[in-house]
Amino acid sequence: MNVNESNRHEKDDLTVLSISPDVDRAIHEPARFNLMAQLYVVESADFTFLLNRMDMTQGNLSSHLGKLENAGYIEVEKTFKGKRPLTILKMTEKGRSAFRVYTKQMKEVFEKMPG
Amino acid sequence: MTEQTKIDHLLKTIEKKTFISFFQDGILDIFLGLIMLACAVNAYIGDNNDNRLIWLMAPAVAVWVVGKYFLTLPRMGYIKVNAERKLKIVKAVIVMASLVLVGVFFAVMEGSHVQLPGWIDWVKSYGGRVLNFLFIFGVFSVIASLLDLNRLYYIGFLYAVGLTPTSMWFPNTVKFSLVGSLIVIPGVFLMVRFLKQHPLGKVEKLEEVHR
Repeated sequence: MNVNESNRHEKDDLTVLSISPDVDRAIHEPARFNLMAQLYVVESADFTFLLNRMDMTQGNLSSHLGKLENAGYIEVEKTFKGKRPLTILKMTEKGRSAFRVYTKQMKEVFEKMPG
Repeated sequence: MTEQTKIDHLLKTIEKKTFISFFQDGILDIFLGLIMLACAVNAYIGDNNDNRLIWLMAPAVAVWVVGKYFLTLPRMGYIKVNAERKLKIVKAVIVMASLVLVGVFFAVMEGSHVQLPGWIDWVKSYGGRVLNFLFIFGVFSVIASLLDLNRLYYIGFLYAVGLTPTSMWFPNTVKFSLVGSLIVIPGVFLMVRFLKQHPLGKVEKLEEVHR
């Protein structure tokens, strides 16, 4: 299956679920949604904290954080606390706004569901 | 409940769980229990020396500082709470300060040689003791509610029992020891569970890889 076919199948799936194809792909993934929710409720958190909360491997977490950072939804600040490395993650205003839009879209999906 | 309310509720729950996860280490319980045990030692030595009591409380403060810095933060990581939570913490500190101020006021009045007003005598009476109990338990309950920390209701009840004058019925040493132990022991259990659930080696190794 090539990339175009894969995208078309994904779009079909979204249509069946009444989810707009415009839904934010950076958030529409369970692990990243969890990360966004976790960062949405605090001012900032460090890498160790997210590692504990998310129950992911370090590689997975780094990968998801990278995608969110590329989307401009989080800021990553690498620093040191004494001799220990400290990676602080903070949700940007753009990220907060995108998260609110995403939850609103999801709300509409659930409201449109029959029964 | 609408879907939006459900999502807001879910986010509030995540925030609450995030905040209280920092109290699953048992250090707050051990800190508050050791303060009560310091009162027990002070009462055992006798002659009600406030300076000595402050020194006896030093181990509790050391457990708090060392425990949070060397045990909790390296394992749990670090967060900055949001503005709403910060406001709740400030309110809790103000409420706790009111308890401390009232305590200091009565300690100073008790220790001074000035003629005490009549209502202070009433406070020492049976009705006053009930009021004393309700005030301390009330303060802890308000803080427990503000911080979403249910264990503080239990600790508040024990503190109210401990700090309500009952020396005519049984010795303060026994009361403070009992109350302190009932707070410290669950704290130690929580700490052991926390240390088992969050081994330091795993986090350190992962941080090293991340660097």
